[in-house]
Amino acid sequence: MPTDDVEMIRDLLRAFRKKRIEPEWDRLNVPDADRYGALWRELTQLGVTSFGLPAAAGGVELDARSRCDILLELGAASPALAFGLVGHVTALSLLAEASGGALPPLVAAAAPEARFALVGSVLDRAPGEGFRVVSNGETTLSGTLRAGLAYPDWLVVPAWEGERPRLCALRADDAGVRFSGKPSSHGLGLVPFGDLSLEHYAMRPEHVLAWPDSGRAANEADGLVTALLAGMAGELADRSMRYALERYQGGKMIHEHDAVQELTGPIELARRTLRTLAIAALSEERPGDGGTAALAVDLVRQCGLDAVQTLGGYGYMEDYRVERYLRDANTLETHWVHAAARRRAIARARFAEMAR
Amino acid sequence: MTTLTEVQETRAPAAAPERGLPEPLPSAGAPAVQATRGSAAGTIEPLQLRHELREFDRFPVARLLEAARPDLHAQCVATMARARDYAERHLVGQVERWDEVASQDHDFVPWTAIDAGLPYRFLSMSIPSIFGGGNTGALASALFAEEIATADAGVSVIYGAHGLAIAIAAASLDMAMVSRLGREISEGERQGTAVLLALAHTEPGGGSDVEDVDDFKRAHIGSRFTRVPGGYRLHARKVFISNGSIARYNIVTAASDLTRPLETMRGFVVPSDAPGFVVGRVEHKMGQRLSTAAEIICDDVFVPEKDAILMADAGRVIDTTLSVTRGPVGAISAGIIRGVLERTLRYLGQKRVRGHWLFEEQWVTLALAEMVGALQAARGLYIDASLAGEAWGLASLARPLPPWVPAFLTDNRLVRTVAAHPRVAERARAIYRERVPDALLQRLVGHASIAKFVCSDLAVRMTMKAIEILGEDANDPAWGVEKCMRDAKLTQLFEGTNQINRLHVTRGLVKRA
Ligand SMILES: Cc1cc2nc3c(=O)[nH]c(=O)nc-3n(C[C@H](O)[C@H](O)[C@H](O)COP(=O)(O)OP(=O)(O)OC[C@H]3O[C@@H](n4cnc5c(N)ncnc54)[C@H](O)[C@@H]3O)c2cc1C
Repeated sequence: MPTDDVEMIRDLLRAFRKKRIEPEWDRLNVPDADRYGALWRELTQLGVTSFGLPAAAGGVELDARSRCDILLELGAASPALAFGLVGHVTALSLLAEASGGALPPLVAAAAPEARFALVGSVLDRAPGEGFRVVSNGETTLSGTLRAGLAYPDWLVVPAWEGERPRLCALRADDAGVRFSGKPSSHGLGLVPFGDLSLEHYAMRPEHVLAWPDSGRAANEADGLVTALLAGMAGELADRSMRYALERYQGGKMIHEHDAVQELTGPIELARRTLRTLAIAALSEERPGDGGTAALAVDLVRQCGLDAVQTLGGYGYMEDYRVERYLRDANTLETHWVHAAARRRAIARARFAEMAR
Repeated sequence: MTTLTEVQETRAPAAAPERGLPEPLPSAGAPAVQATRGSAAGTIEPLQLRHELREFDRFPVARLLEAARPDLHAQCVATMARARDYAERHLVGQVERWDEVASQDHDFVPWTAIDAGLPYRFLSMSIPSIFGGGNTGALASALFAEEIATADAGVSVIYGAHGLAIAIAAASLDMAMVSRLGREISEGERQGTAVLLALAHTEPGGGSDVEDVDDFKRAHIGSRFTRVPGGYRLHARKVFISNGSIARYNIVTAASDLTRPLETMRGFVVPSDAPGFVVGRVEHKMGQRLSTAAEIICDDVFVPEKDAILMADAGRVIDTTLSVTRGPVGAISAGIIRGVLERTLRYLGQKRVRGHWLFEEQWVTLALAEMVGALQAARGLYIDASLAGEAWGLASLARPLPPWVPAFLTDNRLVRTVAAHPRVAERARAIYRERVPDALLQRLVGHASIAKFVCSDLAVRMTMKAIEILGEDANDPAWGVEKCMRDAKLTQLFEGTNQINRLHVTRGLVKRA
């Protein structure tokens, strides 16, 4: 995509933020399907929700920088909305890869408008333990998993059929789909979190696909989550530094204190390095292991703590719009990233490689 | 998608109280957490901290204290036991729900808990016994703070902010005021009415500046008073005042000359029904939601002479207050660490993964060890700061008589009247300056500041770690772990940000050779 187009997307997203996110900020902290739906429709109109779709299904091809910047802008404006977009894009990439490029017909028909969510971590390269497919005459899907679901129309559920990894697609509003979603008391408040349970849910056999084990979707998600986090770091840098330029304590503006520079410098560095890392991850063709996101989430959680600290008591108050990013970063860690576990897995993989 | 209300969430089993059970000291190398083998086929495997990590009487330092200062030791043991009794009866099992309520209703105040605390006489505990209080010293007060914060840091701050207001009156050595407040508070406790106090010191233009004696001199503060016949007229706007909106009295600081704020500072005891006293915005906070923080406005409030606190040397008053209140913030932080550790153990006691207990995975064992280590490190520091205060600080003046002097000799009207006499206050100030000269006072602030910033940094780190252990389940408010994290962040901010506290450590404890 030419540079002009990238800049256009960025400008569109900034205008969207100003017009739609800023005025509603306070209300974007509790689950609200209608509000989320309205925002999503506008994002769709801006053309930024379809980059996970194959071109055949109406998707747009975007280069790494553009994909990064979409998530970066949205992550800065509303991490919860960006969370929904990453889930959507990853679910679609997995489905497309699993079905050889084109989506299953029913899904393809719905895709341009519908919202998708991947149940479980977008960074995982294999299904977790949550769900099992059983085929004996009828194909059913059963299991329970804690999930944060951004009001999807379709659920994409990783599952195991015996020893074989599977990817299942089902309508989220089917009667057999049960979700005990409630407001999170921590981060990503716009999104309900709870247990998703399926009990002998009858699957259409054509919607039970072989899990694509190339790791491409996980790699893409690694970059997108990192971009989202880079956006959060940028926002934290902007907010804390702007505040420090205006606050006077200790005989000078607080940005002149070494203590405040020590707090804010690393946030600015995180902003810079994470964007570069995200673009690198999104440009690479390799199986993803979530390593970049693991690095990013640790950094951004610390950025959140330091940004609150920079604002002193004001940082602790919801109105100053800083502490929410800290909570959001924590919830990204617990829902998708699990940084420590990924670091251990990376060590194991490298040990195995070296031992060969 | 249907919402399933029937889905049963995994809920923590109520921990069985283990108070007073004798338990032998562990042999060297025993694990820090005790695993009680589970019941039927291991659906639950309760885990808990060993006694020597939970009961003051079993802390190694308690043995030494018992020998050296049996009075202090007895006070510590009794205070911690009463605090635990209160927390178990009135806080545990409630606070997570209250926190959720308070997230929507920012005016929510846990009055049931505050009222339930009245018979325990926590509000008057730090007031000298001759003024109707419990004479609880620095160490026992800090242990109290830890114990309550283990259950809920916000509730602990309700008592802490009340104690902060008492501390500034005591630090001013205005014994007449301490006596009046003390009697009213303890009378309230007897009658079943909470006479809560707040200290309203921070203002929009003066946050860190009013916590630091040097910066105070050039602070941009706006709260001022003028003298009028019979008293003072007070104009003040204060922010983030814990208890400010619920206190019977706010102690409001102000200066008569805003170009010389430190030299001309005084405190004013403003009742909540004083004409011109207005509660402004009650803050929407990230955590510690059971403790309110509010904006306080005094719009031309008349304060009679008797309600003014003379701060003859405001710099020393501020430093003395910080020297006695920062250690308890360390203790609150230690309580948060213990609270999050106990909640994590409760979670691990029922969490199985891939056919085994999550607790058995090495990374979890390592993380738990770090949390236990942090708890002990934090405790060591706040105990150290409290003992420094007991030995060298203001508290050393509060015990002019040996502990064996019977109470009836000191607890009578004559002694109270004499002690509250302005001449006595003046003499006490002189003695205090002599016994605790400025350099020693700054060292005390240094010790208290170490406890404050190290413990609170540890509390934030450990609560972030606990969130990692619970993973997805951390988002479930019922486990209370994410609440601990939100609560912990405040401990790095109030009583001076941790940056200001660090500056005070170096100021007080490092010198040119
Ligand atoms: C929930 C809550 C409850 C509170 N309760 C009370 C209460 O009951 N009574 C009361 O009087 N106050 C209370 N406070 C106020 C609290 O003590 C102040 O918030 C705190 O002292 C920091 O001041 P500030 O918020 O204005 O931050 P600022 O002073 O504006 O600090 C902003 C940043 O600048 C840094 N900074 C400032 N000065 C310097 C310097 N000289 N050198 C280096 N760095 C510097 C700080 O470290 C911080 O990172 C409360 C605050 C909160 C949040």
